Amino acid sequence: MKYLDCGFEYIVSLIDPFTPMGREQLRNLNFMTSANEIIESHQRQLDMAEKEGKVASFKLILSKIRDIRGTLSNLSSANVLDDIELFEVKSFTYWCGKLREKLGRCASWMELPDLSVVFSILDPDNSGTESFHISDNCDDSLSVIRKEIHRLQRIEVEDKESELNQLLQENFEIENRVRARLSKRLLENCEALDAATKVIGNIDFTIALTELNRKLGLEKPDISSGEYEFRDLVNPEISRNLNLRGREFQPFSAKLGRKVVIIGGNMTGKSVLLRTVALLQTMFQHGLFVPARNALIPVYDTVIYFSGDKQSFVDGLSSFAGEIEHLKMAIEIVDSDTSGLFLFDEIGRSTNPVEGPAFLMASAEYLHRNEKCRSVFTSHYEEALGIEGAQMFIIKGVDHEKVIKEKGRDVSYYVDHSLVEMGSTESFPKEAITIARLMGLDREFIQLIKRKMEGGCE
Amino acid sequence: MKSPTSISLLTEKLRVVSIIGLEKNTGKTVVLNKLLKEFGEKGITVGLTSTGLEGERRDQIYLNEKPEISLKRGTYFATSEKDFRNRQFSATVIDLKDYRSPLGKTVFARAETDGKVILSGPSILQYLLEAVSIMKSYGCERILIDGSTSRMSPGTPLVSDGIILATGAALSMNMEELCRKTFFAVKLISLKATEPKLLSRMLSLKDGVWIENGGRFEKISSSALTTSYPRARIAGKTIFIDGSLTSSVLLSLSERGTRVVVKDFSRIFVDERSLMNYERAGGRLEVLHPANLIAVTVNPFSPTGFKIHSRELIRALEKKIDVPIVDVMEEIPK
Repeated sequence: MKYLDCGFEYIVSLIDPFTPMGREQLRNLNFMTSANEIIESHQRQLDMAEKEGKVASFKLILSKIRDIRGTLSNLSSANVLDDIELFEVKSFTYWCGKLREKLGRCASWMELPDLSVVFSILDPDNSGTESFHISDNCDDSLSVIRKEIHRLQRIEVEDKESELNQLLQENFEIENRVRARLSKRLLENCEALDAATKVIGNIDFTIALTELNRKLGLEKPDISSGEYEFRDLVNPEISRNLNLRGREFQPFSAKLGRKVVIIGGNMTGKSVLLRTVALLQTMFQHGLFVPARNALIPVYDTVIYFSGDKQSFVDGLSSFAGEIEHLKMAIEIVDSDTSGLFLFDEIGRSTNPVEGPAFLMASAEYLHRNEKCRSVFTSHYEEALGIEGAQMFIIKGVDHEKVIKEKGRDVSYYVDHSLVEMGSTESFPKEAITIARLMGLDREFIQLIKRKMEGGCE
Repeated sequence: MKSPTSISLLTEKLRVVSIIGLEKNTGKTVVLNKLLKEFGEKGITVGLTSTGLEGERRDQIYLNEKPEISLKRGTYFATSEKDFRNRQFSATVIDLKDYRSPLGKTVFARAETDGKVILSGPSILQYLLEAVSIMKSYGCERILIDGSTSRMSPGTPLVSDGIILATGAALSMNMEELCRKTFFAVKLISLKATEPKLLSRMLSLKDGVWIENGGRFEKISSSALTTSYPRARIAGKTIFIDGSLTSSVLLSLSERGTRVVVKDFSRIFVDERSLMNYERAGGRLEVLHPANLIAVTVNPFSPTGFKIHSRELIRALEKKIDVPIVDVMEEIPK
């Protein structure tokens, strides 16, 4: 499964189901385009969160539950199961019974089928344990034959070998008949067993999701019919990396229109914001909770996110070619009647500064044509201010008061990452030189840049 | 300590016993079957496992029939799925563990009739420990580990309360060499423990090489293999190695009065000559956890058909070994 390159793999890597059935659910985690599917996934997590006090005991039982899917497929192709497989099925039904008991009254999706009939088929002695063997009770003649074998094995008689071998052969044949009989009866219950493995997978996977929610402080998003809002959006992966260095991720809050342009100086976090919105949408459309409060998000048929050079390199394209490929996909969606969220990081940046802005302006206009689509652009171009009907955001950037008050701190100290809607009077931020200076670029070199600016290097 | 009445008597009060062979065809399996028979007669509940990939019915080198293990009804055993399926008796499957091996998972079972099976239990120490404790939980009064050939790991005192060492003509047809090799193995297994005062300080040391200085230990390296040791620093000192001890490491530590301590004998991968040189230079070798050798068994037959003189061999071995020495091919008088 290839996910959008927005850090979703990191989130997936933190989901840790216990059983192979749960891990299969994780592998099958897909991009959902139906709101109902997403709502169902949310509901499961809420149901499981309600059982929080019991989760530890669920996990204990899950750790004992065996993966019998291979055995079931043997069974359904009408094979006779051997003792090990019969044991696996018995053990499975034993622990499913325990889990069923522990679950008690629960949501219908976690209701396990009653497998006690299957258990008793494999427990003719009523031992109540998960151990399995072909017991004397499985066939009328077994007990007699086995007693005779046991007697012969313990006495010294001449010529006992042929008699013993015959009895062993008989025992062997009866046992095989018993296995065939048991397998046939299990086959009648194959559907219930199969259903149970699926429920187990769902329970296990949902427990893993609720644990992820707790670990990352994720919250349930609401599904909107068009609005796009979130408060305190963070990027868990970047946040963790910052925390390791003793810093904190500054959360974003915003209410996004259908045509959004985000501007801001270098190092203000425009790209991080865009990447985090891509992550937010991706998590949302995989039915997960999200790293934001009060999120209200619409479901899209497609999400297109162009982050820049790295992904193009991987695909073997130049960054400009990558950009064009993504634009083509977006235009296709606009022209068709499907919905799409388009996230473009500095469109037109990879070509010359004369044509580049035109790419941005044209994209903003064209991608807006389909009402089911929403586009968010980040840009460095001053021309962005001229995009008609766009909602303009700016990331505050260098805090000049701090720069005056305190010297010699790390550059990140001076940058304010707050996202604010731009008033009409504000000017376009030009802070590349300030930031380069804060990063300790050679003084004389900075003077040279300034002189070039004044001399008009265009 | 001559002529014991039976091997099983030697294992009294020892719950976990491993049988280690110095070479293939030294009679490990014969010892095992003998023990099982004797325990069966006494009504003792036995658990059985093995280490190593021994799952073949025929000896792969000489193609001699390899004796399978004969289990009595009620014996617990751990073996691979493959070998479990090939058994010739009824058994209860009690547990199935996912210790991955080429032969599948590991089945824990109890024999419901007498019969023969090939044992192929888990080899990795952690799993072996778990297998032993699982069999303890079944109520086994004795647990026997069929050790794989020339691997000492199951003998570690972490797992086993006692060791039976199997040697014989398969190791060498030359009596002198056979004795020398056996003495060397016995010497390693019988290494003495360091005195309690220092030992208790070493128990908590982890990973790498530690040197003692006035009763305190400091780490001098994180791996024994990549370190060179200044002579002046190690002479007369106690050096603890958490890890494997190889010949080259031991030789690099050969200084007057140096004492090297390892966890237990199974961590030692040193050849005879290197140990001799080390000791000549004035070094001593000790362990944190001493092992308990309870008997040495000899198989006078080599797989090529050659037979060594059993009485003579036992007499020669008894000169330097002070645990009972038993000829496995000879019926032990009751």
